[in-house]
Amino acid sequence: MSNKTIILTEDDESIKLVTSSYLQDLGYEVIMASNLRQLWKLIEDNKGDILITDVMLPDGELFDILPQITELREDLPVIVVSAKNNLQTAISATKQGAYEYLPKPFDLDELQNLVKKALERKKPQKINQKFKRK
Amino acid sequence: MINNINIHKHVLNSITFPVIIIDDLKNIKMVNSAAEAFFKSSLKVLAEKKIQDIFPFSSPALFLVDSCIKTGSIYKEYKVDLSTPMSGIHKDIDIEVTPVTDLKKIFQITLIEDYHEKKLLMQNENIKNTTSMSNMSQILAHEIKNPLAGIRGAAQIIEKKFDYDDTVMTEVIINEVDRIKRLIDNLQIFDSSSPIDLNPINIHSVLRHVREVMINSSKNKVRITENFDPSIPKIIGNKDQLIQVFINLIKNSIEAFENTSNSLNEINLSTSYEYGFTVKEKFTHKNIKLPIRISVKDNGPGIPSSISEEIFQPFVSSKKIGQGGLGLSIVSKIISDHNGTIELETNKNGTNFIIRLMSEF
Repeated sequence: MSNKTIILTEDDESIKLVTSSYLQDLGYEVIMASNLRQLWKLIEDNKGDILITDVMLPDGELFDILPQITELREDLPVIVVSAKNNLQTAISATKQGAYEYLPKPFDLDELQNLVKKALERKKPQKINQKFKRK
Repeated sequence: MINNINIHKHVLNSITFPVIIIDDLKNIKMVNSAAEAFFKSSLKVLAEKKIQDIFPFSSPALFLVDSCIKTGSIYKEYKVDLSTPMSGIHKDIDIEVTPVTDLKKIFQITLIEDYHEKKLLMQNENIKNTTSMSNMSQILAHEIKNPLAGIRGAAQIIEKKFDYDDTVMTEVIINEVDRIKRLIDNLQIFDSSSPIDLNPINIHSVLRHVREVMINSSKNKVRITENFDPSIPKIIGNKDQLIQVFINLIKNSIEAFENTSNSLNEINLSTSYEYGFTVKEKFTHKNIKLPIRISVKDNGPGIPSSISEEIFQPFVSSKKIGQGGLGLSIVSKIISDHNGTIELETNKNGTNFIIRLMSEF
């Protein structure tokens, strides 16, 4: 079905293993980053169709670079997952342009639905941009 | 070449007590990591605030800051209370305000917590102290939810590889993980870093909603009667949190009925307006009127006197170990966030929780 590529940023080995194998079974390609530095490299290299990312990473907090990510890759939907389950995290995430916030421990089926929806939402935006250019 | 700005930043961050740098308009310019932890906010958030936004209203600390900015001399004060709803309880803080050498209009505020006293306090008050719960909840949230996410995900993947009939055990794993998650979310209610949103609300609609929910979700037959004073004004509160309060109280009564043979289990919800009940506000010490009286009364077996004294503390319960124990402490925390009070009257003929709240008028 889909040969879309997902960037998964997560430093917890178990979550990485579980989430990536689940998404791969669904037919997605998954590229992994374990910290902000690796994530930023992938963003700059224009990799991935969607980003699933943790908030607290070994070299910093996602929100330190999320504005730059959404600025550089306007069309890249970002799904933020975090164990810091509070309103503030959810607000920060959406304020900074994240598509959705999912508290840990999350349901993999729910994650899959979000990925699907986010990728669908992306299409009309791209078409609009093309129209604008013409 | 080593960047000088970075050295300053690292030196500042390696200082173990909170340091705040402000300008002469009291804008926060920089804080170190210890200050971020102390105020439970990131540098980013703090850098948009003024010093009077993070110190308690009318605190002597603000006077020290003003004096230092005015005269350029060093000011110190010992055992200042810097507790705020945002940062939690910080009593007995030694504070020092100094102009930064060679930098005009830049001032440094240093906070020193009395570690020996603090340690002793933590040991004595231990888990009874809700502020220690607050720190614990943050550590729990992060350190437990990550492995939970791994466990839950692994169970979901295994589940997909089995036939439907074989998924009983994976369901157990998923449900139990979700149960731990709920427990942790409940613990996080004790985290007082974010002040709650209070609005005028109709308490009767809250009570009726809860009554409906509890009648429909209760296994055993329970009678919930109401005795409302329709003339009382709106109360000042947070609807979702008050729903949680009354669900917990009624649940508590229903569970108490399980220990009794009384066939006529009844819970009565009543409201009334009472003049003259005032308390002092936690931080500003102003008098607040609490004219709205709400009572949740049951005819159950009562709460054993061995635990009724500490019933609002976390994990105190007459139930078996592992079955809850946070319900009433959450109630107490929420009511306290509403500046309200809760009292308990209990004997062998029943239990009555009386809550008093602020009213709109």
